[in-house]
Amino acid sequence: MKGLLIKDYKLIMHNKKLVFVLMIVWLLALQNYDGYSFLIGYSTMIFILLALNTISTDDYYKSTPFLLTLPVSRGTYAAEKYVLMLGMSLLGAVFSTLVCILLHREQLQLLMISGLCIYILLALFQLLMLPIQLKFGGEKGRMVLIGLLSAVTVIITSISSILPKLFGLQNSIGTIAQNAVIWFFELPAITKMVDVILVCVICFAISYSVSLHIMRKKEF
Amino acid sequence: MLLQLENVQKQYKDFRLNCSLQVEEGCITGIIGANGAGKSTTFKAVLGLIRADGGTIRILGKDSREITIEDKRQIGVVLAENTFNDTLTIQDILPVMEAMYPAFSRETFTRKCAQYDLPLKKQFKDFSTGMRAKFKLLLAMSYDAKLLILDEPTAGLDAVVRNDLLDEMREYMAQEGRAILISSHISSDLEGLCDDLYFIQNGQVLFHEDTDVILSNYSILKVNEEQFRLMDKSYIAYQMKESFGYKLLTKEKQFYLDNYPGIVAEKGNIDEIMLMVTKGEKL
Repeated sequence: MKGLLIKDYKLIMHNKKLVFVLMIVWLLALQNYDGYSFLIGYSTMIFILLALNTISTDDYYKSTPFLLTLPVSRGTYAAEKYVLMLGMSLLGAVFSTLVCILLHREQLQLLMISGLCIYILLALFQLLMLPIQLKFGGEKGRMVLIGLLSAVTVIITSISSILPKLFGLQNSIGTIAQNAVIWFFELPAITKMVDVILVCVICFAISYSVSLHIMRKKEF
Repeated sequence: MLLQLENVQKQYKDFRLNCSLQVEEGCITGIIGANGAGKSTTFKAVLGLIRADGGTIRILGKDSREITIEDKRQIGVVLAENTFNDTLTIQDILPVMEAMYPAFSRETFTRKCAQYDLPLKKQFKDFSTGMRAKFKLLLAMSYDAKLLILDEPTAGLDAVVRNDLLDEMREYMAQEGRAILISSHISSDLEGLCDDLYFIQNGQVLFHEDTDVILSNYSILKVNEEQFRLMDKSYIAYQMKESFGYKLLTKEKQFYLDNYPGIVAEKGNIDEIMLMVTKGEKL
């Protein structure tokens, strides 16, 4: 895996000019914008896109078959992408949170919670994205992801408008979801933490198993 | 035996591979065949890039499904169309190779790159076809692998560089216990390099022969209608109708030279034999 990580690091470094420009934009926004959640999310997304780009270029330049002839198993190839993506997003979240804290020390606790929440949300998004990218590659993978998210949005919207009428619910699905969130936040801190960790572990296990299955079945 | 394929099958919509071949220690084995004959499919099956529908593949004495990472370090590969990402440079992949192959020597490899005028800091996408071919072959030979699997390694190279790289392969084989499986469109490369050759067409191995035997015993006979009618055809493998009469492929050149003194018998060469095998009529 070390060799693959070095290879992807070198690929990422070829985008350093783009990263530099995006980080300048981010630093300028940091001076003039108070929406720290957005700023932490934006910076983390830059790191995620850099990592994601390594899958796209492997696919675009058809280098995956060659990489699999090196001393690398299909499982290791998938695992390396998880390490890279989750590692890069962690790096992005920690870096941006630290910069925000340095500039606004008075909001330390709020910024740390924001950074953690954003990392968890984006990590969950990556767990959805990775199997799709490994199955369909860069370009097609993006289309599939957009299609999937659109389908989920349409389904949730439909359900939220149809279900209350069908079952005579007094509250809409949105209100029910809102109540669920309120209920969750009223739970003791330790229970909340355990629940979040549990959800993340389950999502990771499902996503990684699917990715392993995809890589083992894939033909080149 | 470093590589053995027994009835390896792969079915596609309009193509079926059914291939058996062997690569012995100390031997360079060539695969020759027209475009779409099944050479690359055979290589992909050997390397596990596609799953065979049937048959067995043994690499380095093991079933291919039991190959470990350590075993993969003993295999050097050139794929016709694939290498590292095109945005990388040779400089970039040096630490990658060091991390993956304990036997890889940065100094030796960079020296070879300099010898073949390969720039260390140029992205692969800016390499010419020849530079790319040189890089892929030198890389496959850079970590002391036992078995080289080379799909069209000399494609796109000029004659001078091609000869240099063929010499590199010969030099590589000087060490005991190694073997090479190679495919090429350039039959003269294979003639001068390989110990034995497999002819593949439509996914089937049409025949397998030692290169020495091909060059010494095989012959293209050119006969007129009368000669064709009277001759013993027991040792004729393929025939092809021509304006002057017939072109015939035989493995027993001496038999025809001894018994038919006036016959025109051209020395067998791979291009002619391949033409006869693919276009001729089997007897």
